[in-house]
Amino acid sequence: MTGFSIIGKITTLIIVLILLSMTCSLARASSDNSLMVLLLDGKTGEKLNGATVFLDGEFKGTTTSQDGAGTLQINNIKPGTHTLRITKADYREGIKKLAFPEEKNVEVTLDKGYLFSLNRDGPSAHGINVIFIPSDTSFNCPENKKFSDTTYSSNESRFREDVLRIINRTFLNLDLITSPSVPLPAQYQDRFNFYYYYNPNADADAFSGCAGTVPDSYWNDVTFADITIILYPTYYGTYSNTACQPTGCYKSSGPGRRLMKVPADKELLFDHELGHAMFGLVDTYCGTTYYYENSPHPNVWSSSDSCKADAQSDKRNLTSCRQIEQKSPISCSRQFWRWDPDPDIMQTVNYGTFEVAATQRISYVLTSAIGGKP
Amino acid sequence: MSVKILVCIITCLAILSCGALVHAQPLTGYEKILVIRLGYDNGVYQENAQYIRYGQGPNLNILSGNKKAIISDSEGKTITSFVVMEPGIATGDSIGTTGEGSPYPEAYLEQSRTDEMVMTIPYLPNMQVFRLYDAQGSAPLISLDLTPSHTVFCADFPNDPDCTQLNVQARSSPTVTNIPTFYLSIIMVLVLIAALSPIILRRMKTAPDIPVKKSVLIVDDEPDLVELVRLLLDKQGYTSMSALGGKECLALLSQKKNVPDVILLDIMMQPMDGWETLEKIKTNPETKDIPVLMLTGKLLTAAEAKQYHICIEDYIMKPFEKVQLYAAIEHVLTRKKIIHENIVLAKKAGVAQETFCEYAKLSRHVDINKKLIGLLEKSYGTHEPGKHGVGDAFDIIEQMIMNTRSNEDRLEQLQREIFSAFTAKGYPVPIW
Repeated sequence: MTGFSIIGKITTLIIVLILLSMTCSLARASSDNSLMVLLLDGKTGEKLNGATVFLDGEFKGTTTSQDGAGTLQINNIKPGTHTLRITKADYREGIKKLAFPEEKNVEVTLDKGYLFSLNRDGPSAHGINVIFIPSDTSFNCPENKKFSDTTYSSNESRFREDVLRIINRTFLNLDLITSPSVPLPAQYQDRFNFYYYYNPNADADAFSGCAGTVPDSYWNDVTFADITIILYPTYYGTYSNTACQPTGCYKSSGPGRRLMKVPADKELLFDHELGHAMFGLVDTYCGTTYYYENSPHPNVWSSSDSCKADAQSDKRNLTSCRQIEQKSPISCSRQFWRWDPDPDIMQTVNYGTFEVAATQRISYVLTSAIGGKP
Repeated sequence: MSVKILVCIITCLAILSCGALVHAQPLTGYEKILVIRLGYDNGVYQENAQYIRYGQGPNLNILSGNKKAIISDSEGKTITSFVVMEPGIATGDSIGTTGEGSPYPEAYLEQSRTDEMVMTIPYLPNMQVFRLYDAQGSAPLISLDLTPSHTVFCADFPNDPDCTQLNVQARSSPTVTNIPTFYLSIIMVLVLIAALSPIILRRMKTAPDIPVKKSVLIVDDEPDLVELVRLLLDKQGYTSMSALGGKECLALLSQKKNVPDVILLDIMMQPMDGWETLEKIKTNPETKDIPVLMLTGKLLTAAEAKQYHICIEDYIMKPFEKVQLYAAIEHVLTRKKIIHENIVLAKKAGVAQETFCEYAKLSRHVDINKKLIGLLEKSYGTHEPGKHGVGDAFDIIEQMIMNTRSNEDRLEQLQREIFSAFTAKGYPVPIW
């Protein structure tokens, strides 16, 4: 008997074994150890195919019409408590704990998400995630009170139009509002991922605290925000006294929780607040604000020497380093230094552009983010 | 016999394909975040909560602030770090008017003694300790052991890849659920081995392992030098081809059977010089991926480095040592091979192809740029910030240095991501 014929016999035997084990597997599949998951749209009750199903953190398959629309049968479940997790594009993630074998047929409902992408080609890896959310309040300064404003909560199209206008005017044309002497990274426009979050039943409140607040559901749904912008339609009247709320504001409560509020109709104020919120720029005017040296590539320095040292290393004129101060309408000075020539948008707030030092910082942030299409 | 083998192979492949369909793991869907909620009360920080959940995190590289957060592994090695703003601070702005009606900026500072910080951090395997520091401080403001968040998450999602990695014992002993799959896999492998063994044995007896020789195209208008390089390459085991000018080179490449693994290209040739030839090679989709090493007696200018650095793999100055030539060719071929192998592993490890390709591309750019910067500094002198005098050469060198540094930063970031993914799957970390 040759070696090859022995192998042939073994092969035949093993094929038989395979068929046996397959039969066993099929028998097990239809046994009592199966869990049937049915997925429904939370609002319409529609059965949803194409959702990804994980059990205890392990991928188990996608819902299909194989065993009835929107279902997935999972076999070989061990008795005990399990965690089902279901994800589907445009829907909020669903997590359900279940006890097996008590629950063998589980119905899960998924609600539509409130987050909408504005990037035609989908998000870029490593892009800066910018999310707009509407406010259902505005402020009337002469009357010193905030009031309900349904401009956006009743009209999604209007909100979306305002968002798109701002994106186009500011983010996609940064080269028009920054110093031409500092080049921005090529195709910096591709380094942003734009979204808006629209839930008419849970809007943000731009006038709850300086930077406003967003509903808890937002933080639960949006975990990847690099900057969240609360947009409100307009600020009524001119700021006249401290009883009035600020028109724009920024607050960082940690990565993922950087919040900025701004009215949609004040483009230059938008630039200024964006300077704070996205690029870490500091006010260069003198006032009751928060100063610190925002290294690297600061636009404000804590000493004249450090301002000059940076100017020298960046081949800028040392004599432009000057203390932050003003003479009118009130006399004011701070122990911090600035370099950028006027009109510097971080100094004027309502006119001018990002000047040299500020643009260096902007360029640094855009470069650090590294994203967009190759 | 051959029919049995064929039936066996087809059966195995069909069953394995079904298995692959049933158990294929998606490359996405496992992204997680670590969330740390810190209470802040008049300079004192306390932990309010920590947990891991599924989701995508923000970009930690673009944060600003005056506090520094560090996350380290169980051995104290930093895994990730970032800066954050001091809590309780909000800065507002308005436009007021002076008595004369001129607009002026009005600041508004909200400074609270109590607040909450929420750190949303993209999850990385082996995160063990979180510490928060003042920018200049050496003692942490707060230090947290992250074990509880891992424990709770893995209790709910024990089969998540990051949890199974933590539980080696669970991974090594198949559970009841996996028994059929386990035995089935063993049987599959046995069947395949049995089916293929006659073929393998036959091949082992009859076909010795012949390494495929790599081919090198030498492009130079000096026949003596071409001959010398050919001799050197043949001695080293390469197959060589030659062209005595740019046009001849392009004509040779146009015949698809003559695609070399590497091109050695001279610059000073007539009528088509090396740079023009290079441009034509790199703009032709059929030839653009062939690595090109410049082999020349001409000093590299800053303008040439700026224009062509992304097109070349190396720049070797004549006269050269043979070991230098061998090392340069071997370096290029090895890099190409390793990238190819690692791309396969990266896919399995769940690293996005886009991420890995960016890493490979940047790694190559950094490697070449450093070499070119060294050559330029030999020609123009060492660059010092602000130094001018040779046209815009120093500006170009400075720009190349800055780009290289920026690319290195990005490389480090990508490396962390890729290494974590590889380590999580138990693959060896990529070596370049």
